[in-house]
Amino acid sequence: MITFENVGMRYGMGPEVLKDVTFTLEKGSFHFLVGPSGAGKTSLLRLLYLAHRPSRGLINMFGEDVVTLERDALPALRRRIGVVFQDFRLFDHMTAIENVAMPLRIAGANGAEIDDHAKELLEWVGLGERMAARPPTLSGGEKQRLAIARAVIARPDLLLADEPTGNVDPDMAHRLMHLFVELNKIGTTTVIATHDPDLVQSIAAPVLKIEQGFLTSYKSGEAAWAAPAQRAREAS
Amino acid sequence: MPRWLKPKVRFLPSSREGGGLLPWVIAVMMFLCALAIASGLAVFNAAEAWRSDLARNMTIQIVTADSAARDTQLAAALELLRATPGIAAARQVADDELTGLLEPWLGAGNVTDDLPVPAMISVELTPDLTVDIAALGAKLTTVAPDARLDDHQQWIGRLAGLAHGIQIAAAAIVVLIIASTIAIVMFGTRAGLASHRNSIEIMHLMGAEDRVVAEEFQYQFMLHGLKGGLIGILFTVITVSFLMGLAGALVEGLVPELALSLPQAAAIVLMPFFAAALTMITARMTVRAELARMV
Repeated sequence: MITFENVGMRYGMGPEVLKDVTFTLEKGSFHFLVGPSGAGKTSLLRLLYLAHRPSRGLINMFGEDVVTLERDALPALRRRIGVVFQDFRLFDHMTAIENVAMPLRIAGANGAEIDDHAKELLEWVGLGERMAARPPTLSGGEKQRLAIARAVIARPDLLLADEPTGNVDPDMAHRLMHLFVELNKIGTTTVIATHDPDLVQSIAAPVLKIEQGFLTSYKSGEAAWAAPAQRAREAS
Repeated sequence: MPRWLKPKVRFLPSSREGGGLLPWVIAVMMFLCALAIASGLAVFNAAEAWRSDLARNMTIQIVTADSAARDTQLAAALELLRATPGIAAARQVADDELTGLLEPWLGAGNVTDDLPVPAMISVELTPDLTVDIAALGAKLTTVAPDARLDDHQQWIGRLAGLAHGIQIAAAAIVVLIIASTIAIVMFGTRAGLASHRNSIEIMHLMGAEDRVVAEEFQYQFMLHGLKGGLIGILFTVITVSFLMGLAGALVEGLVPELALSLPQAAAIVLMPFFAAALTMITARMTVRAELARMV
């Protein structure tokens, strides 16, 4: 469903932050994306949620060549992708339910459908009592759950989450991971970027490890932790 | 506000401060614009009214010091004029009236009987029939060799030139004001885009098309334009009424009446809608152009 081939990326005239990145995400697969800070996780996610175009290489998403795709064709692809940003990026002036409903409004769903879905999902992530609250009045964990609810409400084909359990207690982290697994079971391709080894070990899933801009695929978390800095060593 | 004008997806905070200074800047622009249009139209109307009055009148003077010849020529000229088709009336201007016309220049009591004042005929033309002035002049000189015909064409020409000049100046002012308003709205829209860049990026990443972003901005700017337009026109109505009151208080007949016809006044009162449309279209085009540069 998603293929990266020899993808390189740089910001402006700066150095390459992603180098020769090659991987494939099959439809309905579940991946962790790990790597130290500054290794290029966020840059790779930016390519995946179509906020940036690569400097070189090929990216194919949902059957479309993203590199040469017209700008007008991007919104339709983006609507198939749900993103949980590390800094949430919620609309502070909107209530929780308005925030969650936004992807459905953009997709042109009708009012009643939007309300039902949004309420149901907020109940599910434990924010049933905070529907009318605005993000500045929510705790970090509540904002996290709100951001997740917004990312999944439109049933995306691809779900990208950047440190989605960074601000919640272990119990809520477990519930959220369970939500991701459930979504994955119904066919949503899921990529979770995290620093947390426990989280990676909690689910048997392949791992994309990124170090100094190079990406290596591993079949499991154990394999990824057992082979540190492989590509980086090769490069140096 | 009609529903079709409202954006389907709202994502910007409804600005409680109402756009800051922008509506007031638009108000000043619309005030100046409406004032230029109103004065241009009023001068045009006055010149037009004066011109049509003058065009329906002619004056004939019989300039000779010999009073007997003057009376003979006067009678002959009157006879000819009355027999000419297209002339509604021809009357000799009475001596009293002539004295009255000369007194402001010569002083009261200085117009004596021995002063050789020309005889004067005031001619009124019928509105629908055109008279061949040159042929009439030629005929007049055969019956009254000392007759001088003045059809006011020189005066009308100068008046038309002045009115035309004022209209061109007013039109130029309107064009400049509209161009300045467009520039101000463009700067305002760009500033709005910059301050909401983060929200716009989130909307884009959630799959919103540029149209959705543009609709939100064009709606907000349309409201600013409408508000500014209404304030501007309110001040225009007050100012124009005040100025027309002052003009009306001047000696009647000394200056032509400055007035607007009903359709002209209605067009000026509808200018807030023009301001709203102008700001809306400008904001939309600016947003679309700016967004096209984003990823």
